[in-house]
Amino acid sequence: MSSIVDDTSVNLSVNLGKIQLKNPVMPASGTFGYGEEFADFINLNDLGAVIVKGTTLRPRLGSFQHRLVEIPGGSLCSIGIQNVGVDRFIADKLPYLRQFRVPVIVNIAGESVEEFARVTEILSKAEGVSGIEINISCPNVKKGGMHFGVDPDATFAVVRAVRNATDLTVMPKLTPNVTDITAFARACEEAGADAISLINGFVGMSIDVNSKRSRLGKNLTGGVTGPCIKPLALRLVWQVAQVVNVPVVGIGGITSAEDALEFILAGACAVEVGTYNLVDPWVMIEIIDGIRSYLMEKKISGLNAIRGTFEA
Amino acid sequence: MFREESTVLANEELAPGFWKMRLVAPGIAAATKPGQFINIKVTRCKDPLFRRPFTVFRCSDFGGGNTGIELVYEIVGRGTRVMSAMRKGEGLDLIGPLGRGFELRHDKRVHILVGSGVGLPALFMLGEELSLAAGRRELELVIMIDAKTKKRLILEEEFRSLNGKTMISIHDGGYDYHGYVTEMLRTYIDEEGIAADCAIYACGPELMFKAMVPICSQYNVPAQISMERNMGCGVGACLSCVCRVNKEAVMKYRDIRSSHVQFEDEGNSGYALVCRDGPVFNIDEVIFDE
Ligand SMILES: Cc1cc2nc3c(=O)[nH]c(=O)nc-3n(C[C@H](O)[C@H](O)[C@H](O)COP(=O)(O)OP(=O)(O)OC[C@H]3O[C@@H](n4cnc5c(N)ncnc54)[C@H](O)[C@@H]3O)c2cc1C
Ligand SMILES: Cc1cc2nc3c(=O)[nH]c(=O)nc-3n(C[C@H](O)[C@H](O)[C@H](O)COP(=O)(O)O)c2cc1C
Ligand code: FES
Repeated sequence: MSSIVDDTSVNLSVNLGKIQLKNPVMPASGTFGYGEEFADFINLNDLGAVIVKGTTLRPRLGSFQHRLVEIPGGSLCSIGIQNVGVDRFIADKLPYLRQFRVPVIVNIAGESVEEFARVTEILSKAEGVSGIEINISCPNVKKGGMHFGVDPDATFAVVRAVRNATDLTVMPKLTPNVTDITAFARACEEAGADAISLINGFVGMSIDVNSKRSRLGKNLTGGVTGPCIKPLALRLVWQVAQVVNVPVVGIGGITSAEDALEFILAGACAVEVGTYNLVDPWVMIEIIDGIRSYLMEKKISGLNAIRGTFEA
Repeated sequence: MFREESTVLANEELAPGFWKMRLVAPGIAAATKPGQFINIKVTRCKDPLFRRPFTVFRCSDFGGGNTGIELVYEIVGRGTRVMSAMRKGEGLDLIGPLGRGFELRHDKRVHILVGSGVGLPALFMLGEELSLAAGRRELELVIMIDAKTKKRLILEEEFRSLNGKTMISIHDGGYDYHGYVTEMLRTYIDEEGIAADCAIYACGPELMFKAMVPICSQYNVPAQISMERNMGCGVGACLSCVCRVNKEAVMKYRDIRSSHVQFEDEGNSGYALVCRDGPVFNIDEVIFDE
């Protein structure tokens, strides 16, 4: 893969809270493992940041088997945040990432406000973590399993608890499974978020008409991700970027520089690439190169000049 | 694992619905071990989206300075239909070799391959290796092929060309054996009295593996099986290809630190990744009914 870090003619760097990214492209949590899985294909130093798999206080085995099905232009999957837990993340996974000069953002999940806060405290003490992305698309066990991310008060409570537990950059990640996403973005900003990322998957399902069962087996439902959700994600990012002052990170169906630029024009400061990493592990490098070429061709010096310049 | 831009050299129908593709791919041909697979991007458009996993059937020198791999596949959906329309000269983006293949049981004398349908290609490279050893009288090779109907019988000639005994069972009869391959397997182990000195390597539908479980435990015969799961990445990143495994058995066979298996806190099971820990598992590692 061509190296892109030394080209200084255009400035791709952006700030995300206290983190400076050398370019605006990061992997979306859960589609990049812990980085090591992609080391045969790309140099992690070339990325804006690395965002790792969702991490919880205790190890989690996640969903039942038969976790992924393909749908037209996308994926329907239920992984259930299988992960090794925060302690083993710090002991076994983080040392590998410390060798690189790339910010590490840890995506966290939990079943209670206290769990989010506790994981954050533990991560804040670990060397080599720059930011926390909060996955609020998780069931709140104390509230009968209702997802934090679909209740503005619960969203506020989680973000506030994480904010109080750390000085690191805090970035809640919004779910699209709500009626008015801007209310959730505002709640995050009020609770002290440094940035907001969106979106996580849309809840969906798929039925095998022969067996009359879910194609996801006992998991029944899953998250719809990939190219098919891009227009939906883009519109939500545009909506959110208009109502908050903190940087917005766009996620959803990005597979190319053009896709990423659409999000940036809609107001995103940076983007995360999810499902398509699984198809082409090197795609983020192509996207970074493509964004640079676009700016050079149009003789634009940096991303600040185009962010949010979509003309409504 | 690495990316290789291959070129289609030939793509032909073997039997109704079954195809064989030759790809010029010297890198993957040189690196692939029996039972490993590759991940193919069937289109440059973004639909079908995911890469499709296929076992390497055979690594070959095609002549004219072309080395590469052969795949044998069945048309079952959109991706394989796209593949069947590919012509000589077209490019195909591959990632491979992936996964952990078969391990030859040097401690056993009789080696039995048990394959059904498009599970058969997964056994051929191992068959070639065993055939060489059988030629040197180091071991015996037995090949058991299963097909629902005679029309769906594939790769018979290729397997018969190996130094071994080939036995074919057709569910509705009309060949060596009438019925399921697993019944043929049981009878063979029993009648030949080889239980203490044989090893099985199998690839086929999960129902076939399930039918093998009581046979393997009754005769205490080791079996390696190649599992399938839908895959997102093939490289261990997305955790979509998990397979339920038995902790005790996994601990017996594997170095846990270098594996991707995660166990539950309490209880005796966990999830392994088919793309990294597999696709080949020991039959007693797998828990078939979750
Ligand atoms: C390790 C491994 C080796 C394989 N080797 C071979 C082989 O040598 N020859 C062969 O014909 N087939 C093989 N398969 C099965 C092959 O991958 C599927 O038949 C193929 O992916 C179907 O794609 P499709 O688009 O035609 O079907 P669709 O049903 O349209 O596929 C939809 C989605 O489901 C996945 N999928 C469907 N069936 C399977 C399956 N059985 N296993 C895994 N994913 C599946 C597809 O990859 C795709 O993501 C192998 C599978 C695995 C896991
Ligand atoms: C296999 C897989 C695993 C995921 N795991 C997580 C996770 O652990 N935490 C999280 O916040 N989002 C997770 N997501 C959601 C993605 O990070 C992303 O928000 C979503 O896939 C939309 O982006 P995309 O369309 O580019 O894939 C996962 C998505 C996929 C496909
Ligand atoms: S297919 Fe992604 S982890 Fe196995």
